[in-house]
Amino acid sequence: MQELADSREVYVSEEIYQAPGVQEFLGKFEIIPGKAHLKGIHTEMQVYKILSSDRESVDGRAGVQTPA
Amino acid sequence: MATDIDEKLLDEILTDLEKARSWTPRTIAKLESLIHSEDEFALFRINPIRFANEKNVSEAEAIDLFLHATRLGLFQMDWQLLCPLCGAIANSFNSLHDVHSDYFCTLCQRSAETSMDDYMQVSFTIAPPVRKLVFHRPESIQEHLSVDDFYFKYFFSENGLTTTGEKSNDQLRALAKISSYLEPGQTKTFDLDLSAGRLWGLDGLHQAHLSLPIGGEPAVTSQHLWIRLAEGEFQADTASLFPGKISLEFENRTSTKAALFFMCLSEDYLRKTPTGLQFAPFLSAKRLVTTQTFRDLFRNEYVHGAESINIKEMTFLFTDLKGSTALYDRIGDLKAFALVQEHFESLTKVIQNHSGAIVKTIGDAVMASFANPFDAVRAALELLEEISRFNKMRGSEDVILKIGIHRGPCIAVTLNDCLDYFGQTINIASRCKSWLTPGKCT
Repeated sequence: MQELADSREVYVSEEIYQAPGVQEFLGKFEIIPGKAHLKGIHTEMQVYKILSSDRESVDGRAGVQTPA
Repeated sequence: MATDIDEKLLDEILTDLEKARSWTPRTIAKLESLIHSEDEFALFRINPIRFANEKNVSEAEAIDLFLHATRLGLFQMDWQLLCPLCGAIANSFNSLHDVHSDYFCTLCQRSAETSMDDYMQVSFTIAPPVRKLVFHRPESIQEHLSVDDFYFKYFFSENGLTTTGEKSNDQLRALAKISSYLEPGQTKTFDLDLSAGRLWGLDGLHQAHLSLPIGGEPAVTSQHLWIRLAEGEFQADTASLFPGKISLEFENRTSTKAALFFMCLSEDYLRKTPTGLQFAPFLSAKRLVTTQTFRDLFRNEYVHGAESINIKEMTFLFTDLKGSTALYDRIGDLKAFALVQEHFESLTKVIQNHSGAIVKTIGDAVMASFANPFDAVRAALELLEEISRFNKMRGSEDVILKIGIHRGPCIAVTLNDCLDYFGQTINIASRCKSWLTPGKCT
């Protein structure tokens, strides 16, 4: 998960995103959902890229396929 | 005011405790007032979460307070495994080293897998040099406590709650038909009127258990049952009982005192599927091990040898420095090392402020654990801000952080003499580095 992240980004898994209070807290941040295959994990994982407020989105650069 | 306190020693420890970190005003005074409590039980298995709520101290500060105070010799730390069905303290240990991967409740006759999440509590008892309590000597505790206190202040946790919110100890008290000590060689008779169900109980001092079904037609005349306690177990002269009047004659053939606790469980009670107890908030082992102060002050507290302890859910945060190889080339190893150390300090401060703990550093990467995923997310976003400030102060953009967070089950183990974690959850939180290429998800 951490290696998905490019500079000044946080990647969280679906399990984190769905945890109580997390979505409400992240309301003010730009969130980019996507799917990723992690090494050693057979199933594709839903992940969320959280962009920090002081940078622009770099969709795609971090290796996550974002929804069309 | 209690008079059996070594006031000089207490003063010395409290003076050191004040210097251990900065505390909210009156926090130490609140602790001192507790130590002077006249009630010995108030100083036995102190629950820091309850202390926090009762004394209006934050939970994080209360946990820190007891950890620092323990390190200075004011308290002893105890790890207890609770039976989820009856609330008995099935095992109690002075150190995490002694905790095993499963445990057994004598009363319920059930094994349970040890898990740091729900039924493993950590509490603090005043240290004997500061103030001696009868609870410090479990081998002679029965000489100082009533049998009721033995069971409800020592044997069972006082935190257990039934599904209706009733204290589980009150329910056990109501179910108890026999609650009595039995001296070595002594015989005692108890006259009961049994209804259909099961006679169920134990001797909590010898860890002996007895369960006899009660059924069939009610007895016309009073029954008599002889039960002998010998060699750590009960021996009865029948395998079943009839409803109705009965004289139970207990004989203690051991060389030490016995503490009888027997209930008559109705058929209705037995038909219910055991749902397990809730517990009033306590300091769970999971929360403790994700506290930075615990990891800093108790580095020798880890899981024994090849043992592992289950954790149903833990949140892991991994950070790494982007472009660190180029950074080392650009500014040299010496400066890069100093920079990495500085960034570790910044990360530690933020992670600690959000109730997390650094498990380890791997090169210039950090692995941290959190009991609560929300805390991890808040910490991650503050880490980015902190590193941004860090770079601005240095007038460069040398430190660029990447962060990943995931939660799930894992096991606590010992690696390199440190408490560590193992499992797929950790792999997911950290792994992707070797295969990921920009713009493509492999």
